Amino acid sequence: MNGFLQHLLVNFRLNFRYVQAFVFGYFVPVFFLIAFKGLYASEPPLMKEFGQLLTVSTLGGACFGLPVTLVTERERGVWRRYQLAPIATAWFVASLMLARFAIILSSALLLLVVAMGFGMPLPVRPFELLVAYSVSAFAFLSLGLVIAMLASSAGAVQGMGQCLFLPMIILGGVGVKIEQLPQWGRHVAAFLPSHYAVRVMSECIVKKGAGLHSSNSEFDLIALIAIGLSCCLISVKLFRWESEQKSTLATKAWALLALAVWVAVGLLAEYWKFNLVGK
Amino acid sequence: MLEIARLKHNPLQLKMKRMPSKVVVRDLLKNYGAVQAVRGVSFDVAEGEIFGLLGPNGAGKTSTLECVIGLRKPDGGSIEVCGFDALKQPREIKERIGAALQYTALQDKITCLEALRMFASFYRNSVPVDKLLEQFSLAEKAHARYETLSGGQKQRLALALALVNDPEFLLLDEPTAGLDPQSRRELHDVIRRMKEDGRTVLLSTHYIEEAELLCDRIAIVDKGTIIAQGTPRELVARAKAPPRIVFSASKTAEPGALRHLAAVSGMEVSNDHITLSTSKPGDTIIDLVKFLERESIELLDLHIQKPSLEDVFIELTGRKLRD
Repeated sequence: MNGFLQHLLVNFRLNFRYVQAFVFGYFVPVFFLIAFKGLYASEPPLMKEFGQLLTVSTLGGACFGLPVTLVTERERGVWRRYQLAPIATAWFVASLMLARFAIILSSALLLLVVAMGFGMPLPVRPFELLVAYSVSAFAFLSLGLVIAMLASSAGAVQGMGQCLFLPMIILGGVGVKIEQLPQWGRHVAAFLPSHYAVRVMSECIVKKGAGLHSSNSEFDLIALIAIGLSCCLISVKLFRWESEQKSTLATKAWALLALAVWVAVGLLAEYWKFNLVGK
Repeated sequence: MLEIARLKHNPLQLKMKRMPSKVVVRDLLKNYGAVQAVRGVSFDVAEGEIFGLLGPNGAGKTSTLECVIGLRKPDGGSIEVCGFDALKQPREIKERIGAALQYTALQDKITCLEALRMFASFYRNSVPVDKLLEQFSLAEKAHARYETLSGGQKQRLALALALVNDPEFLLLDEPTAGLDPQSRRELHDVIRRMKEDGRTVLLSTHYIEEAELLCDRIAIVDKGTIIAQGTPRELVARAKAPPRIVFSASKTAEPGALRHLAAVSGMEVSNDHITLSTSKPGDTIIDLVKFLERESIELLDLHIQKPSLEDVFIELTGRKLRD
């Protein structure tokens, strides 16, 4: 346990020693916030879009920040040294995720402060929002870990990250609201976890939102937890300590399992029509 | 009986033989696709000794060591470390060993102190990190980031990290590769101190001098197999190469005349010195001095080269160690 805490502490500290962490962790999300303010002239300002903003900042940290750091360290041979420690892989994975969660949470708080500076009132259910945000971050960070385990280089992370990031931004209710998507786009959104994250967080932010106590929100939380848990377990199974560690047939099978959970969530959502606007 | 009689002539070896083995490797196999990196390697490392794997790059030393510490899964054979099966009880082994890998790094922005504290926290037993910083002359660099350390300091930090858990057994893969001579000498002192502290050390190197200087016993590795094993003295005694007299003089001596000096069996002439192979170095030197005096040539430098591990390697493989 002491090892886990020390590793967590060091990971957290190290993040703040890199300039790019500040740029991508804080400046880029604030830039998105200003862009959203200009794009959507809603009243009160940013309230309806705040769930989207939180999702996009979390997605950036999860799809790029976490895996790029991990893969770069692995390429440099840093993780080989950790492999010699008598600590279970799961502890390292948990520590990496918690450190990154603390960082993106601080970014989310900054966004909240800036948004309130622009006139956005405090979210209606702040504690429920914290729960929804944490569950969403868990799902996205787990996805980021899977990217890190499958990608062999930082360049590959960019490619794989974009493959997840862009569809979620465009079709996952993040950059474009679900109600503005064509019908086929809404079906696709059912398979994208960002859709569930935006929806459940919005329910905790806006005045007319039902918080976490609606069947929609419960489904969203369960969907995000299922995706997060499957990806998290699979990233422990696939954990690569060094770049030379090649993917085996078992590796590919585990990755397919993560994809299967993801698809299953989408199919369930489609089956119960949870993904339709207003339901 | 014969074994005991033989050992009585070598008290050091007798002591070694009585020590229990810290590491027992039997018929180790490791393949990378179609490439057989390790082909049936077997050796024992006795408690308290420094055992070296000597061989050229690509000989299979690192693969062997990485199998021993559990970084690679062997394709065959058995490994026992500190009484534990490396395949079945890797965690128990990791608690008891320390290792400095050949290619390893830490995060650029981590400080020496943070790295030592963090790695110390991973183990049940740990040494105070301040003591390690002092021991490895890193106290002044405690708050320095990894990226600012020199090659020698990084290597010393790697060794300090290997000792954070007060290990019984240390594994050092090419510990001085790429270091300047001064840093290399410092690390040699550190490794000797490890032995004085009663630790068992398994190291790999492609530096002959390092192996001869540090190791109690050496296994010469080539193409994934051990081709010879023993103390440095035993291995050198197997060399068939004759001793060599290397000298330089004020004028170039007539090579034809030098060939006829007492006991000379071969000669090599280079820009600034001549090497004579001889079966009787004493006789040859006397004859050489007389010859130079006769020819009014001043002798500038002379030394005797005994057969080395390099000669043993050449005799066994037909190539130089660093080819």
